[in-house]
Amino acid sequence: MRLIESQDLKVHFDSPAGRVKAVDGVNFHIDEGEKLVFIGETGSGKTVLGMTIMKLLPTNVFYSGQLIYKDKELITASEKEMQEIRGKNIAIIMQNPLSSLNPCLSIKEHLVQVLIKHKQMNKKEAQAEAERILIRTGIPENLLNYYTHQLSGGLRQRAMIALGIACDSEILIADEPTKGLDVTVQMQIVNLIKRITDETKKAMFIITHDLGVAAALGDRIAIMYCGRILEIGTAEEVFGSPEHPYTIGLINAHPSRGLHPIEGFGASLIDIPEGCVFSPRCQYADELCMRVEPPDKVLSETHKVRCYYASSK
Amino acid sequence: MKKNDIIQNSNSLMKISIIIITIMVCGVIFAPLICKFDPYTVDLTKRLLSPGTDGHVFGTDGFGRDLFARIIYGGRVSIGLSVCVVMVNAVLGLIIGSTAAYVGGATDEIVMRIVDVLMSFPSIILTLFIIGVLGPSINNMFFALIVLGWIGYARMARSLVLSLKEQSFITAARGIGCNDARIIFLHVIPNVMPMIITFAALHIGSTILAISSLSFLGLGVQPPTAEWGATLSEAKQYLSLYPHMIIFPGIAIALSMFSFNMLGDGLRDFADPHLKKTIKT
Repeated sequence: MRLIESQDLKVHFDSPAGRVKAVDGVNFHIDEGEKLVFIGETGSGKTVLGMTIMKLLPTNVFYSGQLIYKDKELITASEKEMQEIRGKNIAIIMQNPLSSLNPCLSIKEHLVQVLIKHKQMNKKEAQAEAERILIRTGIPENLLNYYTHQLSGGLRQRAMIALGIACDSEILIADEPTKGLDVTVQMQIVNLIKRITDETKKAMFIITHDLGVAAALGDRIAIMYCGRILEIGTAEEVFGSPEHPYTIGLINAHPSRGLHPIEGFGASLIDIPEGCVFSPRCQYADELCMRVEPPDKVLSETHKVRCYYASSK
Repeated sequence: MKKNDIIQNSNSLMKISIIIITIMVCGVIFAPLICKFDPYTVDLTKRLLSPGTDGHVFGTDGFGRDLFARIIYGGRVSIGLSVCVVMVNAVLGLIIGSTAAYVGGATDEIVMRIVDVLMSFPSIILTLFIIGVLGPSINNMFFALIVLGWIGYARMARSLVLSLKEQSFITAARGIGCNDARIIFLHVIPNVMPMIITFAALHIGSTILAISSLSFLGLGVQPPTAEWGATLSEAKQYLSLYPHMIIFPGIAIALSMFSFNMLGDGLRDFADPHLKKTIKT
């Protein structure tokens, strides 16, 4: 069953410097039990896209297009309707667990509050359930009543994951779940997310810039750049036969492939390049690329690339 | 190591101040049990006795009233009144300040401009003006201290709530489906309270001083009511011959201010959640 579907989704912000087009015409869908990974550089609009699904963006935001959760249009949903959906149907693991947890509450208390609110448990049940969930995410039993500042980065991230899975939501958004962790802990967190989603058959929307994490977790991969999806496909398609020059560049920039950086910098979201957004940095770009933005080229049922020359290089 | 020493040190000062405050508060509450003499009984045959004579521990004043009893009963007014003033101010300021910050927009602008206007008056002049217009009495002094007192709390609560509002754990709380009321009571107020309580503890000290000074000037508590500032004021004419009359209420004021300030300092260390662990060990 289709859980989330977006059609030409645009998320813009008004700022003193001009209109920031953080997400500009994005089409994607997530089916039940599917893990979709968004990869992109900083400032490519990944986090904004994740927060859009939760409608947690500041007040200077403008939405357009469609974003449908089951039968519900989220773009026009009221704050009250969203309060019902958040946490219960769609949950989020925010980036930066230290500032995303209340310093005045112990990690167990965080979970107890969520469970009381969404599962109508009484305090005792909620406490037992909170302990069960936290232990399941690998937090030692004697640390459950600790405050966030007393925990290590990995444990904080585990607490965030516990909060994300507390209500058996159908979709879990994970915003850079491995950010700021060292490699061994990253691996543990990835395995934890994998184990939990395999157990619960949860659909996931994962945001990362780590190709390793994406390959380990994702069923399908979307490459984001400048508020657009440049390439989307199954993990084998995107990593096995990448078609967009940007995807190829990203893969070649990985240390295991020799650490070859992509020339130039990510485009500004205020002053978006004419034509193909990647053309200023693309070594294959020609006059047509600079002038007219290419349409999505359908290579297979799942594989779409926004490039004129896909499958011809 | 050094940081730890400082914390240990301030902690022991805080312990001392808590002991002093406890003794004072107990003394004030159980005043009738402690004092052998009534603070208002005039006995002109026992005027100006020096400390220790005839069972008058602190001696007597110009009307032969027991000074010890007057200081204990005076504490009822000084400490009790200042705690009331601070509590009213803190609650008022917290409500006004945090509402302004949370609602934002025009409400915030209006409230903060009122605060700015009140801030621009020198506080002592406005206090004197209010008491001057309304006439000197305990009630009017109480009112005058509240007119300006809530401003500090309101500004503090506003700035704290403004910065809290943008914290990602508030967004995260919305992300798990909390409504506004839940966010305010569960996430905002617990994070603001430590700072407000600390500020309040420090404020009690300065309020005791303000009440004493106003009473000393004859603008607050009126004679014959026992109050530290008023007692000082009565004693000033005997300053050179009978200094004990001015020393004891002076000590009472200084000691209470010292203890409340130390308590406030200690609370400030506790209020910082990052120091919590260091203090315990």
